[in-house]
Amino acid sequence: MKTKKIINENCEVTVNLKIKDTENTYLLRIKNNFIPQNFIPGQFAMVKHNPGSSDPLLARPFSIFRKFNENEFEILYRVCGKGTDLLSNIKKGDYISVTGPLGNGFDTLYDFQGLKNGSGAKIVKNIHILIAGGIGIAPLFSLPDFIKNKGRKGNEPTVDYRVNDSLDSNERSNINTEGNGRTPSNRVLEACNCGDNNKFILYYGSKTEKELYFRYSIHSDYDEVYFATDDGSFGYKGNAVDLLFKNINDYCNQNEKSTERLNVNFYACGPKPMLSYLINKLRAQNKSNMLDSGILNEYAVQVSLEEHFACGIGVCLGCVVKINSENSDNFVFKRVCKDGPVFNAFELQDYC
Amino acid sequence: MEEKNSKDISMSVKLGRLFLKYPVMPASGTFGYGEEFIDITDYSLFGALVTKGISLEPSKGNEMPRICETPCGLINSIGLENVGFEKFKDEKIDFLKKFNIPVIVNFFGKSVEDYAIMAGKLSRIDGISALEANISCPNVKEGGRAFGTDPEIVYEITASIKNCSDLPLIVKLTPLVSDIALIAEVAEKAGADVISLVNTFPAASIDINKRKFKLSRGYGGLSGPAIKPIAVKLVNDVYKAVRIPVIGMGGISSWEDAVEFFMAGATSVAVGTGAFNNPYLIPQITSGIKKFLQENNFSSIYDIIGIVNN
Repeated sequence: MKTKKIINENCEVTVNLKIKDTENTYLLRIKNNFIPQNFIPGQFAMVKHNPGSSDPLLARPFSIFRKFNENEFEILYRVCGKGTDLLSNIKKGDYISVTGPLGNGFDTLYDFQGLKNGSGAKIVKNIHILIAGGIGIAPLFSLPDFIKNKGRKGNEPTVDYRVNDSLDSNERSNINTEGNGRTPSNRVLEACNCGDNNKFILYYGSKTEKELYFRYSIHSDYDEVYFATDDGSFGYKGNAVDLLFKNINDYCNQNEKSTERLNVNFYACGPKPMLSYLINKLRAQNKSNMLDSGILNEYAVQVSLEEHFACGIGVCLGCVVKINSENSDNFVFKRVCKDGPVFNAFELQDYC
Repeated sequence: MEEKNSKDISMSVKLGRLFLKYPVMPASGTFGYGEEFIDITDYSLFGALVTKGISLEPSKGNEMPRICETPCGLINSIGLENVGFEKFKDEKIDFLKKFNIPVIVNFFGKSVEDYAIMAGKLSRIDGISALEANISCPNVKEGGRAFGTDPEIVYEITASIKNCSDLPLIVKLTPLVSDIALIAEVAEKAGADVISLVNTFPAASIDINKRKFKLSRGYGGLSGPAIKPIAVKLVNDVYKAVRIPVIGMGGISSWEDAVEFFMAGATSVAVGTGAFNNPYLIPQITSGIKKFLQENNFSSIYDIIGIVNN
């Protein structure tokens, strides 16, 4: 009997609620005992709110937001069309069709733990920089927890998030929303507070305050959180990528005398223009420097892409993206659903 | 629990020389080369494994967007993306043949000669049970009209494939012709062992805000429940016109849908878009039909094939 990798089941919905203080964004909690225990952040599920029905015909792909407990997982979605609108009308106790976990999640093999061998050994510090645009927070949300708990089976994730993410004045005071939205730069090299040698930094942008989900609680998973909004209603006025590049030298300029060796990893998800801008900026301004200094390796920038899927498992070839190749056309098509949705940013060709 | 006498119900079918234990299979182009669905479902109740269409040279396929959803339907314009003959032979067939289920290889060409060459090459590979010629693609050499719309060319292709290959040949018809019975008759006369239909229907959808087609190529092929009634009618047209067996497909999403195709004259059915939502659809159809036959005191799937015309 082969090991089960992907399930397709009609699953009970235990929660489907609009998140307070947001525009049309919902949290869907689904009962299933396979996905919560087996997914990797960045993987997704195909969800059909009307199992067996033909209109709408196709299931919709959603990133797996997080494990709620051993038998329930959650999806964070924004109503943006007919499918998500109908999904938002699903009630607690209804059954929906779920296939997952699907695709490749974020690769966390490239972080290093412990000491570097040889003379002049340095403590390796992994800096994980997450860049999220709006609902793009969904596939990234579980990543810090996943990295922290990796290889420590039996350790439950410790995310403390409540559905009614209410505005709490104490929490609000913990977040720096002034000026350029960043915390003081000297914090960058402080010992991280999450054990091991991992430091988690979030750059989180959106059009407006209401699309920065969990903006009053999300900092509990991170050493630093920077917010940006296009309209300036919360944090830095502008986009999160520009904000990142204001600070990027703090992460990437290696001090020879430092006892630490930095290993920087980027993980991003957001609208196409944001990802495209991020990739181009990293390529143009920093890639070679960062590669030369050994801080950034070829695989250190991972982006999760969004696309329309029909099958979600790689058979229909409806969701391809161009990947650089040595062949005569200089590219091959890869399937976002099966070969992604997480890709190495430097492999994407003309992503815009 | 299955009742005792359900074991006596025969579900096996013969498509020419090709024997299938079960009469339901995936439709070409919705099953890749068999490598993906295996992570979700097992193939033990599949009548056959049917590959994505293969051509002599690999094909990258079309630019995005390649798919869009319409009411009860899906339009696709993948552009016949495939790994090409060599890679199929070297990397794909070994996986397919290990299931001990008949492997049907779908293929196509840009010219009549291509079809003959492909048929010859495929016949020399071990592990292929039958060939399915897709004649819905454009005849590049002769101006791009689909091969399958011209009876003369259908005859030529079918005869030249038969000339180069001893494998059972399934000819897959395009539905957009004025007289599909005629095309089927011609294919039969030229030596086809089985007819399969329908391929997708040429279709388009427009984004009114962008004032553009939703797909990069403008048109695509429509599949899904929207086409099922049209497909049932065309299958019946062909069933009445030829003596060779027919594989019916087009929007099958349930065992009841499949029964319609059998009653219209199909000896076997294929499932495509429907399996995207339900990876267990093929075994479910087989067991659903078996139960239906049992409840209606039939002893074999053959008892309902073409029953509407009896």
